[in-house]
Amino acid sequence: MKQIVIQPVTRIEGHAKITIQLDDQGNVADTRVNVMELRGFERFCIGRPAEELPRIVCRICGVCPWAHHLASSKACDAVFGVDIPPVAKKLRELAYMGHFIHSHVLHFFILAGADFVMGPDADYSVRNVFGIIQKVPDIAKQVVRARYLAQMMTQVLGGKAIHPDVSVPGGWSKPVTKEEIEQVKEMAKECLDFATFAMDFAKKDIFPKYLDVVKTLAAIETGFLGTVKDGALELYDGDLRMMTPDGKYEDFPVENYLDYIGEHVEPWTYSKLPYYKKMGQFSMDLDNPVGIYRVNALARINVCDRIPTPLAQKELEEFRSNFGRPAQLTLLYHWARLIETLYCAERATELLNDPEITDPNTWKAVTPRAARGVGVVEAPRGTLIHDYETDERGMITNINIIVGTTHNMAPINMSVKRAAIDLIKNGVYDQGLLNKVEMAIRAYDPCFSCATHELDGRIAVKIDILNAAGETVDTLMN
Amino acid sequence: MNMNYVPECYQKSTLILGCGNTLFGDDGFGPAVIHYLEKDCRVPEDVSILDVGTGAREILFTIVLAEEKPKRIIVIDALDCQKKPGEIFTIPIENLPEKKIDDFSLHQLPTSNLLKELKDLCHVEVILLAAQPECVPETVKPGLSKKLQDAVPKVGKYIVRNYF
Repeated sequence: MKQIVIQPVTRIEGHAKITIQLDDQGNVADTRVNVMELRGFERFCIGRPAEELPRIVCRICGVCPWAHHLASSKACDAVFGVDIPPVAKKLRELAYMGHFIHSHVLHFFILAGADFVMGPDADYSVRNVFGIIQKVPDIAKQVVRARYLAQMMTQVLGGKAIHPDVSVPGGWSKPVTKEEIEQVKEMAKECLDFATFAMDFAKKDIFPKYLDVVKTLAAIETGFLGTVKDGALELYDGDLRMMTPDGKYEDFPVENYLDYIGEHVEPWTYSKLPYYKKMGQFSMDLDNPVGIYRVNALARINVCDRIPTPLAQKELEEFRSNFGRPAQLTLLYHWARLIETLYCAERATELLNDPEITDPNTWKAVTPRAARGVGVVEAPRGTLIHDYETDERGMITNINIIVGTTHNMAPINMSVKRAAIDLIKNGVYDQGLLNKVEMAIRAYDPCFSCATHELDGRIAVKIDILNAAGETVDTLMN
Repeated sequence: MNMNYVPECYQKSTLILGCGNTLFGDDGFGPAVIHYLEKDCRVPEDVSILDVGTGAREILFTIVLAEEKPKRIIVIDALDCQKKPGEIFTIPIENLPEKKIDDFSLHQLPTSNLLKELKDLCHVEVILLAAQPECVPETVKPGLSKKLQDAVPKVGKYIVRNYF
């Protein structure tokens, strides 16, 4: 029996290690995707004033600081029992649209794009950002431009793009001027043009070529979790919706998440594996999974009844007519991400045209109290939950954070297993295994850096192949 | 291309990045140096300084793709090179410890790091300015050790002398 470990999975944020255990015939017995947890963060927060957290949490992760910043602000709003001014909600959402565009464009065109632009079987030495520059230089320029614009949107609205501190318990600390709004409108307009171009480009030049891969690679069947507002797609605020694989769903307020989401523990990973509690149990059996759900773009596109902006809604209808609801194919995450990018650009434009957006009353004073507060946003990488408890002085007494990638750990494990089973037969596999397993993981756009802070090794991910006796007989690395 | 909306950090001829996670002891050295420069020094017009925390890659790969690049990038970071804690040194990019490469990589090549590619393929001058950490804890514990606190103004002054 052999065991395979994949390391590193290139172009995912952070680090993971994959082990593939083979049986005596050389077929896949089991696979495991391991990540390290960020340790000690909860303990560090206890005893601190709650209002410090929206700034501190940005330091967890350099990839999605805005998601943590806003989820934390919302959890603080809830513990302080404040209903923030409507303009503050709008400004938070508007800046967040910029962050989403910035993140999704990076993922589609650079991190995942190399597989598609260069082709999944292209040599590793060209399947990277430099390959993209050489093959499609004009698109590379547009990608840079779109990311500049999206980053500038967050900077103009919030002062800082990298470690934001503009959102505070009670609202938003910096009213915006008409001039700033006009400036951001131009940026949003260009982002919308780019998002429209990206969607058309992908549908014409990318997806048709790789439809076979999309239809087979790492395909699993699960439920989905995402945020909706009146049933519509929503990224900043709303209820959570849990959908089972048959398409049935139930909605619940975010503060009740513990009634719906259980945390399964496995001895081989520090990461908790969340599951749909009402299913009563947890199983990653590929043929009969129980309680497993996915988050991130594909999940959000699946759980929503509609998208409240016209261009993205049109794309949703086309997507559903092609792939149904819920769409299960793992690589459709990429398609879903482009629909969301379009939505974000449209939604930003709507918010910018709202006459209330320059209302100077962006903040309400807050008073410390003993309470529990849950703040949830959809991070680019999935539902992000911040759950705080405070004492009467407003000091943190308890904290629980579930990040997007953690929800997706069980499905990532299942997708990798699916891919490995399909690609390893009787002990025979080639370098293609490595590429395909990477592609499967990358579809989820996992960010292991908030789940992890690895101090040793830092070699992202590798595949170790172990035999039946548990000995490493091969290691695949890029 | 209309370049009106290029963030400042991409436009200046010298870009100084303070890297590291301030939640993990001496790993917060890079950001601490940036704060020192912001607070105690006058940053020249053609220099941009940035506390990038754990997000250096986000910036670096955009620079790789961008048409207009800084002439010089200075990276400040805590690097474990088995020296005396608090010791300050520069290090050729080729000698970057393996465990640090990931911070500057999109993981696209075996030993890839974007700093090396910026230097070799994009002809940007890349300088790594490092301090030997005394303690990078395994669980969240912010705050520099005394030795690294003392190293912050030293590196700050070195930058002012040589690049400001």
